[in-house]
Amino acid sequence: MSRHTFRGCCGGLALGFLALSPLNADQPIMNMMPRWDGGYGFQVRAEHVHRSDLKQGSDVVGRGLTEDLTQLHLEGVYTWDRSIRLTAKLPYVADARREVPDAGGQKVVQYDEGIGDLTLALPLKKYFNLDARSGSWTLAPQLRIPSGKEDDEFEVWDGVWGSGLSLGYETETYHWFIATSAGFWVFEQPEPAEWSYSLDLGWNVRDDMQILWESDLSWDDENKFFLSAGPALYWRWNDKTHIRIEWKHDFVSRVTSNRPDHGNGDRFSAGVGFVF
Amino acid sequence: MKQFLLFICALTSLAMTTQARNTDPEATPELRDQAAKVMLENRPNYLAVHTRGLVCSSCGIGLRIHTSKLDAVDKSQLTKGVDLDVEKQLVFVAFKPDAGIDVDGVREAIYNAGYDPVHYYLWTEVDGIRQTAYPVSEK
Repeated sequence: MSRHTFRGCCGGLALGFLALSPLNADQPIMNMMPRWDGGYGFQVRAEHVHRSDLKQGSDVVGRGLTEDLTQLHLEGVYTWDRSIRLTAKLPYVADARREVPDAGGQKVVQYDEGIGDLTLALPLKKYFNLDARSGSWTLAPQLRIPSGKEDDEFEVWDGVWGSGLSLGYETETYHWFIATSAGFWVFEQPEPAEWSYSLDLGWNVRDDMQILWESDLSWDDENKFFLSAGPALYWRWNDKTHIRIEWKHDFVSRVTSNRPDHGNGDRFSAGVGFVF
Repeated sequence: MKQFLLFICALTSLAMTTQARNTDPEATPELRDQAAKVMLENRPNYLAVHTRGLVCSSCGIGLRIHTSKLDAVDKSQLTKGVDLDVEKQLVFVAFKPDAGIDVDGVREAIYNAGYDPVHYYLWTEVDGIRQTAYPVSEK
């Protein structure tokens, strides 16, 4: 795209950017533990996201205007009973950098760092135990609490209150694992309401190791639509220490047509969790 | 959007039906009995419990956490006194020689870990392997 066209699409809109709310429906620890009474744990995940172009709708309006986010997620869980647990997720933006056009069409680099928004959830689970199979239904009310400071020209986290609800189903045999969930979030204005759906397929390649293929869909009131998928590896180091690595490729990334945005992007995450 | 929602419903239905079958070949009662016999033979201080739903070692960590807290468990044996066989859905517990077998304590520990104990195996010199059903859970 020529600089002239680029100005036509984006000029004067730089101040209108909104961050994309990270939905992240996964729950500690590693989406599977603890299911025992009185169990608790915490995990730390490092996540890097690379977004290659600036988009508006499905169109690239700023090729090569990138966005890179590096975040640390500190997450904890306590299980009172196998049917009820409380989780907390607090992100820390270690380094965020995005390239956007200014009013004159020139590239401007913006930065962000600091604490993001806290997410609390109360997953209510109904487990079922069968011969050679186990699983659960999950209903999880969630609350987003604005916790970060709005002190940068670029804010990864929206800094608004939000409430969400998700419904999930998962089942596992000695060899296979499958999980699916759907949910929605409603935020304070001007953030749009968002919906999400995920489908995870896993193969228990060893007693202490699982390989997964995870797919995520999300869309919102402003016509955003993301589809990403990729492999994940879970490894139990010992009873207390658990490791998970995942990578997701951005297959479809349509942002709102109201303003330019960077879309979904490819995502790499590595985490270690401790459970007791 | 309508097609998209139909696609989601189809995927969800697929997810729930592909694993509708209830048993794996590895987990037949005969194979489970045999695995219990191999572990318990000549070990009168061991207990084996058929634990419904135990298919994943990581999810079953709570079984070891809760069971190993029992006073009578011999933590010097097995792994902190407890081993899991997720292929056969068996929990093995080693007890101290002079402490007796705490059958009810293990049952409660398995419940608290999120699973359902079905029956337990014991070995005696007189009877060999003996299998006894647990009462149905009130939880």
